[in-house]
Amino acid sequence: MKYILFLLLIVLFACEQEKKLPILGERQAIDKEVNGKIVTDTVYHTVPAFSFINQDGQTVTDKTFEGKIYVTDFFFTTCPSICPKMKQQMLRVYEKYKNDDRVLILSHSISREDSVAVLKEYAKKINIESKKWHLVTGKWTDIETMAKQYFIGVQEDADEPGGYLHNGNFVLVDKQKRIRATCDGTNPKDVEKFLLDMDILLNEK
Amino acid sequence: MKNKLLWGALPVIFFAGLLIGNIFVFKTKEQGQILYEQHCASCHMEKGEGLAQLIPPVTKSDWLAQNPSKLACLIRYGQKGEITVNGIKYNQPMPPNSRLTEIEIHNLVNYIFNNFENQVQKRSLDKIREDLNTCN
Ligand code: HEC
Repeated sequence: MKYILFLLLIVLFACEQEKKLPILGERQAIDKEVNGKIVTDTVYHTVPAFSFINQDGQTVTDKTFEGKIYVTDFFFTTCPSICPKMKQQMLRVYEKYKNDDRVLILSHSISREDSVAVLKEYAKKINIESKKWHLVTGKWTDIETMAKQYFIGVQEDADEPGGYLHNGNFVLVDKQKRIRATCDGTNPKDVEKFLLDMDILLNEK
Repeated sequence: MKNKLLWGALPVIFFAGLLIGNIFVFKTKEQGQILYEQHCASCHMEKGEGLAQLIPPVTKSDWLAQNPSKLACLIRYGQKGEITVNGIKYNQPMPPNSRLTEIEIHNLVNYIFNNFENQVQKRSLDKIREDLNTCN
């Protein structure tokens, strides 16, 4: 009995300690020379520079997200399969952090038909503001390149409903441009946990 | 001897219990519900609430109450152009479902009429056939 209590305490303690999110993606060990000594540094996967246009016609780049954490996903306005669910769930993120300046949202359109005007109309219909939630478009190959950087697969596919194939993940990026959490953006329970992950990241020192 | 009988009966009681429990837990779904989940829920959502001003609700929809004969066509051929539901204007195309049979559409229509807080009178299969002959 005592033994079991002891074990339980350890487990509880271990849980208490875990208040940091993992850093996702490939990492590399790089040897650096600091003050004449060789030290090994871990280099994590980081999101590279990008430049797109949002629903208000403004240029949105990696600089837009400097000093912020952000949630990103890939969708298109006429997507019949998973996008309405994703947008319903992303609206939960939007509502929760609407007045929190530390958080932004970035949704990439993967459809060539989604012009700035189409995105603007869409934003109006789901009642969001571009200062918090950027719906962006750009060169298709640039969007595809960025999707890979967030570990999201996108594809043009005439056989798919809507003409494009993509997964519905939400990806959480920290201030150092590292990926810290992902979830299935069509699954409310998964998103529930993702919202808690965002709080953990915001509270990290 | 009595004891042995009792022990023998236990597994029977146990499995009978499981069976009855199963019936309560896994109530078989009607076809209309299965079709709704397969073909409609991705847009209109599980509870039928729709999405903002993009996708209208099927829950407590006044459009349904006023146009019960139009749902079969709408399901089969989709819907384009402005439509007003519960006072809100929507204008975003809904894709067709050309593969659904008359019977499937019949089950789906009646599932929607009887759920999602709608109280629209059931439509017979003959009525649905009639509806489908008048689509434009
Ligand atoms: C790709 C998303 C999508 C799917 C899938 C979809 N709908 Fe719709 N539905 C819409 C949109 C958008 C409208 C509004 C059409 C318009 O603006 O003209 C609509 C309108 C309707 C309406 C009329 C307005 C109302 O809400 O009362 C009904 C009823 C309806 N859909 C039922 C269904 C049923 C039943 C299915 C499944 C067979 C289905 N829809 C599948 C997007 C969808």
